[in-house]
Amino acid sequence: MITVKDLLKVYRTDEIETLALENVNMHIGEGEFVSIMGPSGCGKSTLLNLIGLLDTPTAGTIEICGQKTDGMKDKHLADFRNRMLGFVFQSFHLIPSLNVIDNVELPLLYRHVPSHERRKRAEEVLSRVGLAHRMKHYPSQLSGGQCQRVAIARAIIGNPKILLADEPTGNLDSNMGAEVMNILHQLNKEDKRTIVMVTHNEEQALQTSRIIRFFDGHQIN
Amino acid sequence: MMIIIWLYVNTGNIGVVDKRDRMLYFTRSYIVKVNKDLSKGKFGNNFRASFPVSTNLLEKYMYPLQTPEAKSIVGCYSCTVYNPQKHRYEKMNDIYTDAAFWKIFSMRFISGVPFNDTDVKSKAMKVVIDETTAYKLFGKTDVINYPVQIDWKEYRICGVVEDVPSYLKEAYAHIWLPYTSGSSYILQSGDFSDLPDVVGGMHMYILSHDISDQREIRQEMEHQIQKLNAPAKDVQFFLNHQPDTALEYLFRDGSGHYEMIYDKMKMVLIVLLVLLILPALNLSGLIVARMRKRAEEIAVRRAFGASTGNILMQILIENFIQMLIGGIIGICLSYGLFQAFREMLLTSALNTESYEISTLSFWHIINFSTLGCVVFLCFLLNMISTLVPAWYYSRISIVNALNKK
Amino acid sequence: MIFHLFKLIRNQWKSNVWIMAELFISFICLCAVTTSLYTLVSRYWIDKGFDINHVYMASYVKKPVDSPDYDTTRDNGADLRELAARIRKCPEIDAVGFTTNNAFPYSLNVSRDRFYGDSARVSAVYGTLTPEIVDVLRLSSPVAGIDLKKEVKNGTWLISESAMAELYGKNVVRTHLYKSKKRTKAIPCVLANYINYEYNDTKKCIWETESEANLIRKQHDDFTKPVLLFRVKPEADHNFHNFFFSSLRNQLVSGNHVIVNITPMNEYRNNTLNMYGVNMLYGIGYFLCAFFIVCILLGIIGTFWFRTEARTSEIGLRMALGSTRKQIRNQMWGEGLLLFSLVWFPGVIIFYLIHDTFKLYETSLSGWAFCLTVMLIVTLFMVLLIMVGIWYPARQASRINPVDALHYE
Repeated sequence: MITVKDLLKVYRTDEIETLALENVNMHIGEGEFVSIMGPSGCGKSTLLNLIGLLDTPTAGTIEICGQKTDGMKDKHLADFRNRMLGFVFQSFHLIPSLNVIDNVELPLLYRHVPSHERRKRAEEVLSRVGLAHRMKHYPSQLSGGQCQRVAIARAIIGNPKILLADEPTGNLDSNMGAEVMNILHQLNKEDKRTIVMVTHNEEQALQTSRIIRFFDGHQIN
Repeated sequence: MMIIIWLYVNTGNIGVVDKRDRMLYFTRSYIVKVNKDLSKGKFGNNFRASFPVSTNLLEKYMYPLQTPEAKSIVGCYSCTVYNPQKHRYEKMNDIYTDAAFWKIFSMRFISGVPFNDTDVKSKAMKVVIDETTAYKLFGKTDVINYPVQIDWKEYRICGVVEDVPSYLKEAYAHIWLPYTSGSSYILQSGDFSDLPDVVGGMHMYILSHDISDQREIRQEMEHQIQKLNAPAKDVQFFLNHQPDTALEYLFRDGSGHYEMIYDKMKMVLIVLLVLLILPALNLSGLIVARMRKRAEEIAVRRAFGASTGNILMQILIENFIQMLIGGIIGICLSYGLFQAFREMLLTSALNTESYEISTLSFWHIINFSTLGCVVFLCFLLNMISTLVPAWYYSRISIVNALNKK
Repeated sequence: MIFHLFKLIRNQWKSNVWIMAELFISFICLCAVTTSLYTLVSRYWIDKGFDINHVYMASYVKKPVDSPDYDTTRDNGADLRELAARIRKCPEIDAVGFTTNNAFPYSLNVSRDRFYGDSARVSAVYGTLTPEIVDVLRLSSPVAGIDLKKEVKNGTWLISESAMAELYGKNVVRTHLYKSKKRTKAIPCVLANYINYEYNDTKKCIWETESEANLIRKQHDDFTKPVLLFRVKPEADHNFHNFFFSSLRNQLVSGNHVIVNITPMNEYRNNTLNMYGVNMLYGIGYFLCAFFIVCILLGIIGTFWFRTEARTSEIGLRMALGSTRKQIRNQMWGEGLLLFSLVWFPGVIIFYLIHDTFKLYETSLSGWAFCLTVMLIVTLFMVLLIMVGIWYPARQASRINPVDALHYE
């Protein structure tokens, strides 16, 4: 499903070059739940951003669902992200001026889905994550765990094949974190969704099907 | 918007002056030295005098024009009217004109009819008055055939019209009379050097079939003027690019070369641009600051499938709607301000007694044309102030924006 | 602290260059606008040498020659003087006089002529007035002790200070002038600053004084008819228009002349300035000045507001490291004012070089004194704008909990 070959990412500023990733090669199959682990600054979030097509590699290729992503134009990239990928961020990144259901509908808005259909699907996914009773609330009125569940609902509403989660429990306490992990496992088992998760939490990583470890921009295993 | 309203009041089709888009104005005689360079730079040296046009010149050389749909001789004066209710004499604005006047302007008659060609030719002592004057003199409007003493001559009222607002200066008066019935000083035509009958107090409104006829009408007038100039040796009559459209007439200088009209228009345009660009730059700064705050939101939207085009359109449309709301508030405020300062803004160079400028009718100002201008200006302002920041922020790095870099 | 501020400014020079450019341009623009505004406003307040409060212009008409009522046997001049006499008899009237149609206040019908001193000459605005006009318009001499009423009764002409200075120099009060180059007839003249229109560039005016009979006789035709002015006693000047026409109803016609209206001169002034676009031009000038000031105001306040807001986390951090709220505010203000001070001196130089362009008319202040006054006003105004733009967001930012700021970072 996701194939990464000879990936290189270098960050350049006026005077400094930082090697974020070098010589990364991996394959993630369909339906896998993979954790990426490593110390701070090892390049795991960078890898996730590259796989999620949020950033472009300095060298190397990324193939997702058999499609090469290098050289894709902006509109194509946006469309690809919309249909194939879902994101869950550590800081939730909900839009504060939109309520829960409007936040969740966002990916479908860019797919030009009619409003009644969008609403129906948003209600479905919100029920799935247990937040149907909070549809009209705003992010500032929700707890951290609830925010993350809204973010997960937003990530899956478009039925993407791949879910990318960047430290989804990083800002949550253990109970809320466990809740979120349950949802992710459910999505992986029931929907056979491929999930790539960056985490610091060894315990949570051990629950996943595979752990890929990084150190100083290099893959260890 | 004040500038737009000012331009619209002076050049738009409003009220009884509903054919301004087809009207042409011949208002000045320019006397220049014979056979001299009359280009813009040399005009001042060879210019001798400028005044309104004489009746004789208009009758003899302009009435025969074939291209226009109608031509009307008009002279704006003030006359002395005896008020039988107050038993004293009063000054009122009047217009001396001919029958074609009623074709060019759509006056609404409450009673009676206007004077016609026959009346004008026969110097009939007929007069049309407005509603206010009818009430002032007689206390009612049903006054057809009533006598009225104007400049110590007795006239009979043949029609009463609805009041014409004073900002419609082409047609504004309280009394309209056949010019042939006027006193000698109305009809007098003076000579200037060896040019006979060029000095006077009248002007001519020309109604063309289409405004594109302006050039043809000008050529026809030039041809007529050549006949006037034929015997002159010292000075000659110079049309100075007349007849003017309403916009050109608004900027015409009494004694300057016609190209100064376009210089003045350029000045107005520059002022408009400055008035547009300065707030646009200010707004730009505000928008950049707002975009900076919303960078994270933009990044999230892009992460979930919004293209740069989607983001660009979202920002532009959001700002356009806000500007439109501001624009509509602005035009209402402008209307109020314009009313308050109308006497300063609407000068009436034709009428010497029109000290009061009537309250502007709301619908004369707020209509499709002016609202269309609001929309256009908001669009322009939006483009100038928002396009660059919107384009920039629609292309920001998603990762950096999410990480607030 | 100042060195610290310099360091901050230098390290962020890329964004600060834009702010400094904005401050520089705003400073120049504000100086230009202030100069223009000052010259426009000062025009309004110049000493015109006359007072038109409670003064009216009587509009009269002469029957058209070809009208059936025209009486060819009448002496039109005498009839006009008769009308003036009737007005003069009213107890409510203080004074009545005539001027030529280029010599009354706000006559835009200006005509000039050349006059000669013993050795110099001057081109001045010229017209004629009757001696009573001194009372009607409360004309006065800038020199104390000169009774203009007495002077004009002896046929002395009135000359303005600028015209006198050109003919004889600044300190001359009473002298003579000549109408022709040949200098055959010396005409006595005395200093009287009657400038009939404050928006005219020239202040060189010479007014001939003539008896009523002579003035009317010389000027009386349809296009240059004399202008009849009268002053009403202040206590009687209430609803005077109606009172005039009701009490003088039967006395408004004399021979071929009829008085048809009276207009307060203040109203006449306003109407004239409206009709000839003077008010519009000045209105546009004031509007543009106000517009520029508002734009600059919003621009500067906005710039410093957002700049300060964007540094909320830095402010929080500084407080976490021991800075007080007052120190934060002072630092923000200090930075803003330092940025302004860096562009102030170049701005002063540039403005001094170009200030004449914006000086629409001469004013009482000139040269360095004028520039300094303008720059002081503008500097104070800009300092105020910068401080207003910084104060609120700095206050808000300094109120956040330092722990939140650290967490945010």
